[in-house]
Amino acid sequence: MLIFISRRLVHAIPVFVGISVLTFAMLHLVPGDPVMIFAGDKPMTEERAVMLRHQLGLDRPLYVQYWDYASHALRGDLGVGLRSQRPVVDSIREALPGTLQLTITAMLIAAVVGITLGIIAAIAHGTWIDTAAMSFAMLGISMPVFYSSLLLLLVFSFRLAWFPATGQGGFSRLVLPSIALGLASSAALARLVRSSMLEVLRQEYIVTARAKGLHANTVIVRHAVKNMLIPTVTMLGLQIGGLLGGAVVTETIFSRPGLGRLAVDAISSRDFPLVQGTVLFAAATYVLVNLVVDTLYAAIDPRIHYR
Amino acid sequence: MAKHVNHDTERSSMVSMATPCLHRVGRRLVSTLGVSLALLALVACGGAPASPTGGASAATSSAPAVSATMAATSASSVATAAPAAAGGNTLTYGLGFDVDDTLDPQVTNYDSTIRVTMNICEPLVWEPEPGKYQPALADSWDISPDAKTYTFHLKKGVKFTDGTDFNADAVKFTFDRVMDPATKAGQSHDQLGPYDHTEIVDPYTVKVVMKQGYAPLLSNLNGYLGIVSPSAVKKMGLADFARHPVGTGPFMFKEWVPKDHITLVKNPDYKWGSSMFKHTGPAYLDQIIFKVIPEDSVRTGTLKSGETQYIDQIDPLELQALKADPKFSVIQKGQPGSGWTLLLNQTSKGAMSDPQVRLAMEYAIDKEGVNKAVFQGLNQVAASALMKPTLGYDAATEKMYTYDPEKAKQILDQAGWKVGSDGIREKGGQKLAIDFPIISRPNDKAMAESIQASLRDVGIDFKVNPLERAAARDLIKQNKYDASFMWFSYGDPDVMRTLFASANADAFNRAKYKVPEVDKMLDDAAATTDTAKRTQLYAQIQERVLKDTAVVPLVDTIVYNAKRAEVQGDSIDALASYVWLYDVQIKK
Repeated sequence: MLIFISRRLVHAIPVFVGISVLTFAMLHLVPGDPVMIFAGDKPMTEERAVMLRHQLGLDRPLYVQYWDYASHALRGDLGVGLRSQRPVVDSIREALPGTLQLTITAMLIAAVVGITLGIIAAIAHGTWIDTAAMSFAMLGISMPVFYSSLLLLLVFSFRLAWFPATGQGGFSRLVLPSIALGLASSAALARLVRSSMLEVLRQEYIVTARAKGLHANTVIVRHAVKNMLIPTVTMLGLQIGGLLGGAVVTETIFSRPGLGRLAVDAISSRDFPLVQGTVLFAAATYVLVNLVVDTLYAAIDPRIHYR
Repeated sequence: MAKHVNHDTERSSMVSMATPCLHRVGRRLVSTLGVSLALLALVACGGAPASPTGGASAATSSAPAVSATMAATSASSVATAAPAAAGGNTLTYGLGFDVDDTLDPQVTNYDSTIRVTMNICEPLVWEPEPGKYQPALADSWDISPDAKTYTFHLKKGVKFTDGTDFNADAVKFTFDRVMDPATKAGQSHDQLGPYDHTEIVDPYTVKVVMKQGYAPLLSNLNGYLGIVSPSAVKKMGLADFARHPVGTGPFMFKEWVPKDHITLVKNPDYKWGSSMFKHTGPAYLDQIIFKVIPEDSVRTGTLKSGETQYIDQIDPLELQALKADPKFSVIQKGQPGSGWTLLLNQTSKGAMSDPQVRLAMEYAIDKEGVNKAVFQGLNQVAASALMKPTLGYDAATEKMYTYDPEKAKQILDQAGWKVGSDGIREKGGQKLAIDFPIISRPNDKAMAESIQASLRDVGIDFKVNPLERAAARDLIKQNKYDASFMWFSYGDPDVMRTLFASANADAFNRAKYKVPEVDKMLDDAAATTDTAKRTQLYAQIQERVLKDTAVVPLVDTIVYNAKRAEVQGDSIDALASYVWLYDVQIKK
């Protein structure tokens, strides 16, 4: 297992290099001179442009710039925000807990609701319960996050005043945004769990287990659920990307501090070190989460061995 | 030149009524999808057990706040905590835009930042109405007739909240730091105009000297030029001061949880309030919490639910409901400066080079239609490049052009532009087409499409080209456009120089309007303190740029803030942007 993990980590290196090249290139691929983008609409003398270009290190050859950027990034130094004059890493560190809290809670909601609904639907296959669960899943998938967010706010914050509408801190401020964010994922998950469950239930070992006279619950929990976990865990891993993306919307609507809003605000204030830093961080997280998912396979299914 | 953020800047202070459809759909959903709500409620119960892991919890809200006087506190120690529950004497203010990662008034580029810092760092003068000034840290001032030398007589006995004395040194320090490249000054740099130097005449008298006459200075002091504590800046350094600003204001900085809230507390020693306020001594409020709530509909919702008591920029769809409800009060005020306009490129090589085409456009655009379609009718049809509340606004412009599509057609007919088979006019094989690159944003697109429909009716093909910001700017830089949007809120009519002076033909003078006579009038009007003379000059300029068809005024913008009725004593400045909270009381 350790060998597998270390090998996968080695494989992740080119991915990280690719990500760093892309985030670095971002600045140079967008139309317009980076210095002009930074200056905004203010007219700028050529003299000042040259000075700024030098200050920002943009007058060096591209490969030197990249090498500088990448070697600093390796040491955990993502540069300094142009407006705040603070290390980008500090801004990310500050925004991270909010986003982590939100995505982890949303993930838990997605997992609990999605898996439960999926299993129930599969067991009650063909009944009204199945139809209801799948209608919910359909609704969840088709409803964009900003919709469900506004809807939840309207009902539970503004009408019923059960939860505060904005900010971060405490359980009550976490409920609505994480439901809004978790909902879409739980819906996708419920559909997947239902179909994998149905497939597993048709397997011969389930028939055998039943024939042995095992209790129905034991058959489901010990034999069926374990076997449908592989596609489910894969799906959950992939959902992380969706959750991180969805956090941009949820954080804005619920006025929560977090990585998503950090990135969006950095874009609108043209703070490119901050944009590069947040993108690099999000991409790296995604890669790592999927590595974790792969590793989990072995823990879940003894048939899978990693060499 | 920019006092305020111009229209290309994302976070402008104007009434941005973007994406109303979103809220509408939201409401329809509520009524039609009752079933879904029941299901949502189900999930709410089912999902609840999931508890937050680590990070902030309610308990951390009592964590010691970063105090303004604790200068050495490192920036990263800003607590991640929920704002304290809004007590009796706390005002929770819903900011529409976030601050731009700094609370240093001289570094920021955003009006929203000044909405916070104006309570901490007071300026020399306040401007409650355009062109009317009130003493703040200066008791009185004399201006040389050529508007080159400003002498300020400062208040005595004023202290910064870190204990430093306020005096002429602090004023000189503040203005000089704006010019220091190391400060990387934001808007404040433009506000100081042709600043030369500050002379300390005696400890309580300063002489601010301009390189050329610069009448807008007094107006510009109100905001980005708030005076900062020199010792605090020197002690903390730039990055730390930006997170713990120190001034002389009625409120002091307490804590800042980025992208969540900023808390200010009352300055108990404050006794030098401007004579324009209704009381003296410390502020009534113990605490102000500025909450950043970017979504219009959510911000308005929090006002209704009581989570906030005062908000910037309401959701336009809620205006009638808020006005009708005695629990709320809407604060409505027109902005000074230059409103939404179309600047017509005078150097265009296309059909636009025909002055008759430009003249036809003055008549052809349905401005009320733009106001209704894009702003729900909440703004006001414009007649001049200057908005109505601006000093020197010329009412005579209202009679120059009216919406008259028939007249537009007639002008084009006479100029030889004949309607082609596709309804678009042409002359000598040339189509009457106008290139219009815009930044792809909801408001800009909606306005452009409304204008496009008006022009299409008279046979003009208005080619709207929505682009990414930098791409649009590139086209404009290369002079590949016929018309451009502009919006420029500003406290002084000198904004006309930004928009129409030859010297700015490669900047905001997107009409590339170059008339030496107008240049001279613009310079003369800025270099005198004689209001009658300025008014007369600006009237001439306003009429002249319309006569030369350099600009089509579209709409004047109006700010709509709202508050709960129990909030009393607030007032809003000349720019309709900054809210004075010193006199505010919350009456139950």
